[in-house]
Amino acid sequence: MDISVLFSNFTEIRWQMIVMWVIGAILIYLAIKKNMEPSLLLPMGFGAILVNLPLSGAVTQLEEIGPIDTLFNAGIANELFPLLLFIGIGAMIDFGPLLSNPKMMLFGAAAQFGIFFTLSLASLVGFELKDAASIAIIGAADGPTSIFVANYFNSNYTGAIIVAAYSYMALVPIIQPPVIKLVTTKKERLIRMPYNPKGVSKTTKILFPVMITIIAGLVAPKSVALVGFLMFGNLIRECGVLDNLSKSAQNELANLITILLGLSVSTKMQYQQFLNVQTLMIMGLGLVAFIFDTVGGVMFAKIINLFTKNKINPMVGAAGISAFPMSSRVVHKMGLQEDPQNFLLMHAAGANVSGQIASVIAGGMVISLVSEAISKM
Amino acid sequence: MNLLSIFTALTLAANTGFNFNINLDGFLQTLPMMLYGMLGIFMVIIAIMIGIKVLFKLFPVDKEKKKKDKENKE
Repeated sequence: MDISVLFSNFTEIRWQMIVMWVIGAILIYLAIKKNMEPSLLLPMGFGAILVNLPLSGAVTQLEEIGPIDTLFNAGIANELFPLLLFIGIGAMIDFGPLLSNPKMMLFGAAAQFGIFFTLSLASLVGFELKDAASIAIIGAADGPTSIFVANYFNSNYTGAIIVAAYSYMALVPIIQPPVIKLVTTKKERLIRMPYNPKGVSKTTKILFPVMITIIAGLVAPKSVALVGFLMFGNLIRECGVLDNLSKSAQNELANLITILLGLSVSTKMQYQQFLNVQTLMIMGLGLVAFIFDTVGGVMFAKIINLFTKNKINPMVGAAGISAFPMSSRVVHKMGLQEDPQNFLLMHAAGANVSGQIASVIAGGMVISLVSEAISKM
Repeated sequence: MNLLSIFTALTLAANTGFNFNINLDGFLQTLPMMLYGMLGIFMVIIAIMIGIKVLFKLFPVDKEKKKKDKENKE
């Protein structure tokens, strides 16, 4: 036996692998140093290095099935991980600010505009419809929904889509302020909104998730898995008799799934699939989706202001995207910068929570509409 | 933004040859989806808002408070 056997793998190194190591290192850096979605970007960054080692045993090589691929097939290919994560997210959400001010729900709907705008744009620049739909859902500003939809359509760009979705969610405080400033006047940003919350009964809080599941299931049946798991998590939280389960869903379940999700997604970050111009375009289109989500929410608030006496600060509309709680904090901070006595947090939180529901429904809508269009082709 | 520029540089460096083509038919095909999609989301959201109003009517906070107070007294 020759000592060169120990070094034979070095000859298998490709320059693209080194680029992927650098990308992995950047993701780890951003997670640790910049605190950008660390729970997802760190496992994904490490995974990107792991799966791009020459002849990596972590991924399938010829007939030898790798553990990362096994995890992917066990939890993502069948959409299980994003759904289980939704139970945890549902248990974390307090719908109180939304229930006490239900009008804010409209902004959650309006701020999904970026998804459909990007769907059209991605189709225009030559992506297949299934890939365009998967890219557009980056605008849901909701990681599990992006994974769910991209996987549903078996997109060729799942890795890039997920990296874009989580990166832009973390970049909301950088992306939204200039866009909001661009489409609002100073006078509009100074609009004060008094906060007079209605009391919410416990029964209402308990019945709310059940009601949403039924409505969403009837109107958009494809969204019912996503909405149902999210609302089941919320029901555990609000019922008042399952505190231990609620805490487990919020902590242990969510943490465990997040670790597995981040690692298994990295199988889609192998250089053969990831390093191409389409990845760059997906990053660009993801940014467009976030920008037009913001514009959609703001413009809708402006339209409402044409017909109502009690004016709404249009910045609140921008909080209708799902990135919770970053977006509501951004709007609140911008309000305070304009007028130190203008407290928009609770209004923005209502719109932001509504965005979480609306983004999931948008995911279901995209699946329904695009599946139908593909079946007619 | 930094992330985007880093990815821009890296993916350009790793250019594997992209065939850029404008697909006008595909674009036109998605326009009704934009309309129906947004309409669908608003329909669901408005239905939920009506549902919330009904829940508030059926289960007001006062009613629940009175019931609790009564139970406490008993």
